[in-house]
Amino acid sequence: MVSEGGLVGRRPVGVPAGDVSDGDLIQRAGAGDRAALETLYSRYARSVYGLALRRLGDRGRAEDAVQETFVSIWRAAKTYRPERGPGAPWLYAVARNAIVDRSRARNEPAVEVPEEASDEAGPPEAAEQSWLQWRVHRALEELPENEREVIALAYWSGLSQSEVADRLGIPLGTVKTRTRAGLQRLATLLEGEL
Amino acid sequence: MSRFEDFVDAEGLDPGERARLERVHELLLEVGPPPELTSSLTRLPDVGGRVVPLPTRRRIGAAIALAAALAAAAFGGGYVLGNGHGGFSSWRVEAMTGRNALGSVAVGAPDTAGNWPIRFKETGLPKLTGKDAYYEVFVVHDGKPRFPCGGFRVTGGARVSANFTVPYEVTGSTRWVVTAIDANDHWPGRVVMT
Repeated sequence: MVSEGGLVGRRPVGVPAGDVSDGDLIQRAGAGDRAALETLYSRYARSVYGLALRRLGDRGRAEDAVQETFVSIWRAAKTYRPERGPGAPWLYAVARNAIVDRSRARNEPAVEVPEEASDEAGPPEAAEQSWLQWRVHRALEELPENEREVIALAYWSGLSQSEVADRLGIPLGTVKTRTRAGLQRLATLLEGEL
Repeated sequence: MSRFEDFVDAEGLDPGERARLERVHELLLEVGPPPELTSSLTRLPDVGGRVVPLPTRRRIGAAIALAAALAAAAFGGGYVLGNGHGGFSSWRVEAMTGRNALGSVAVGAPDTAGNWPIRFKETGLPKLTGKDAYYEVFVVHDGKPRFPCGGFRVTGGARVSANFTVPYEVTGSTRWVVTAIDANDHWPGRVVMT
């Protein structure tokens, strides 16, 4: 179930994303641009938090891991090299490392078996699932609010399309139109994953 | 309810587009919703005021010299409080400065109960004149010295290495200060090192 304060409601505050790529934002952050880091935060806070929750299994520790991830991004951003790849995998790697470090620092095992992305120890399926979740949650952040709202309620609240329409006070046809438009937008954003 | 047709008005979709949207539909069901952000995560957490520059040769030299001086202090003119005189494997080291004083806080890995070993070193703090006066190391919270780590005295000019164990969880953003506490200073005292 998705609460009203969840995907539909509370969102991180950041600079309007515009068309600036993740890689550009990382480079700007590397030059000391805090606004760029805030925009990255607005794009990735949920993805990082979701990854941390899944691996650490505790909200408090996951919150700390989010903070440590963005401290790491802030400090390591100047080492990012766009010619080696886009920003999303780099951010994923930084987040994963910060979360694993946190797990190790506590001398406690992670809830999941630690995976090292695509090419190291750990079940490849788990690594793929984490990456997929990361990408999908990140893509959701790009949707217009009205499409994201409808998709969240339709897919994760257990409501039928008619119930979603009642809940939002919009016609059923609008729910279907927005769902379809949202899926089309996601399909474009997730081009490489489909 | 998980059929594509239950979510999306598929009328008029060509087969290629329908397959693309169906894959997104499956992905949404597969990954589940992103987590709700807690109130503490709605804004970018404190990542520090500046990007930590990569060390240059000169800084490395200075750091080695400082480390050597502090190591000499531990084994030479200084004294050690508490336990843990053996090797200290630090997870994080934070430099501190005060008026004519330099110091560092090194944090080791916690034990399974959550006790964090901390080794504090300083040189340059003056001897306090009050009969019961002493210095105290604090964890900073909300910009103020809040959680005490341990106290120490100096003889003036001597170097100090003090070991503490604290039950507070140390994160990548934890900061410390040293305060001076004597008859004229109310708890938590005057901040003399940050």
